[in-house]
Amino acid sequence: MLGKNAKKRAILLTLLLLLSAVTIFLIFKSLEENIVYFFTPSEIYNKQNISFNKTIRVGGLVKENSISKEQNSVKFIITDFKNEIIVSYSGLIPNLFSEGKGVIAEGELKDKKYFIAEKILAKHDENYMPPEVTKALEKSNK
Amino acid sequence: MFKNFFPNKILSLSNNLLNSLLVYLILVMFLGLIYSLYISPPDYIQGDSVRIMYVHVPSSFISLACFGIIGIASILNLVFKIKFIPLMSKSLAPVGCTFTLISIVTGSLWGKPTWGTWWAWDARLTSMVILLLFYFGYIFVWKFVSSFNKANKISSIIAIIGLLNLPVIKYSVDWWNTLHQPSSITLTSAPTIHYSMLIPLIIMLAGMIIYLLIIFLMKYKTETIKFKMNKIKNKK
Amino acid sequence: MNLDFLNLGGYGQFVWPAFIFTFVSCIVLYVKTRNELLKQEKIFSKEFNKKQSAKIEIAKHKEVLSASPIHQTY
Repeated sequence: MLGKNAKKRAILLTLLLLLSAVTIFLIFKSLEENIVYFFTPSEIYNKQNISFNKTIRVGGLVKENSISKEQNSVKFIITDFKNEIIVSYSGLIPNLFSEGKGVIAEGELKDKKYFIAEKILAKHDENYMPPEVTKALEKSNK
Repeated sequence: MFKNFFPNKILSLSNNLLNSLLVYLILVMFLGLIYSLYISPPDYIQGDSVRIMYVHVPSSFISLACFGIIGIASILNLVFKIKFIPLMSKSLAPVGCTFTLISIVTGSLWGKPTWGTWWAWDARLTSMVILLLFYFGYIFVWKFVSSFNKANKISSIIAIIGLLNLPVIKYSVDWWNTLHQPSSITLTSAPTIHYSMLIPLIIMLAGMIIYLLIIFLMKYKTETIKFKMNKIKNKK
Repeated sequence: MNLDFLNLGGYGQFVWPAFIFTFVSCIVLYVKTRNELLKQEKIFSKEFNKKQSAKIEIAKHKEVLSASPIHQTY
């Protein structure tokens, strides 16, 4: 069915595609540190040669009952259920920031357990439902 | 129905077909808007801002699908050199590009109230910008390279390279830590969107697909006429 | 009630621009595409009608128009 020339072109194109796919994969592999938008507390815990005076992002869930508000600042704990980091922050808090929900803090590490944030972003999950359904779910769980 | 897509048939594409498609579009969009802005419930966390999803998700889906078709068509085009393929993929580009832009702008408008920022250079958002650049490149080559054969070759290569970006966009939320949430609708498991929110999403998607079809048919007819006029000119 | 709907629980300032941007972009693209099609159709029918008096010409013309089998390579 394939003509001789068409076959040649098909093989050439397949090779080219494979080659570029491998190249892109290698580029991504080497740039992984830059592609990830944030580090989890465990990643920071396990990381060698950590830079403390560079702006980085830490992400995870806000630990239940960990938010404590003072006049202008708020303190809370980011957890990934294996490791935790204490975050202190003063400034605007996004609406969706709440306990048990995802959060990303941008700022500097003071040490491996303490983080000073300059900016807070809320990260939400892929679940969408009306409030009545949530209430019904909560009821059935009790 | 599909034979209408062939060059000699597209020229007889009547305004009647376009007009009836337009009527369907208006009906579906009307229903979609009522559902997405009024009937569907607010989200349990995000409140009413979740309504942006009903324009954001379908346009993102269509922008990816369009580029996917253009990319695969470009492979077929380079291998088999079938004449009407480049005219077809060329006709899909403007509408795909528009939906990419819509996806990025509405995503930004959704990001502000939910994430707390208009923009973040995470993997998903960045790869969407790269998709937009590929659309621009593809369209510009067709526009500014005057020789048809040359423009066809260059634009096809751009589209094929851009094709590799699509899985990156799709899986960016699984491969790397991103601010963007993972997909709610997947082929392998039940959607994590409540059905009352899935209905407007599907209606809006249907509406946008009808719109896509209208734009594509009009553009394809335009391109076919242009191509044939060029041929007549060259024969003289 | 009316204001409530526009306000959308405080999110109206984000929801409305998103919908308006979507629809305005779609309408702009539609108008642009349609105008271009009308323009090309006009040129096409002009070319087609120009030579209607000369029958031989028209026969040739039709040949050109239809002499483009789908699988012809270029």
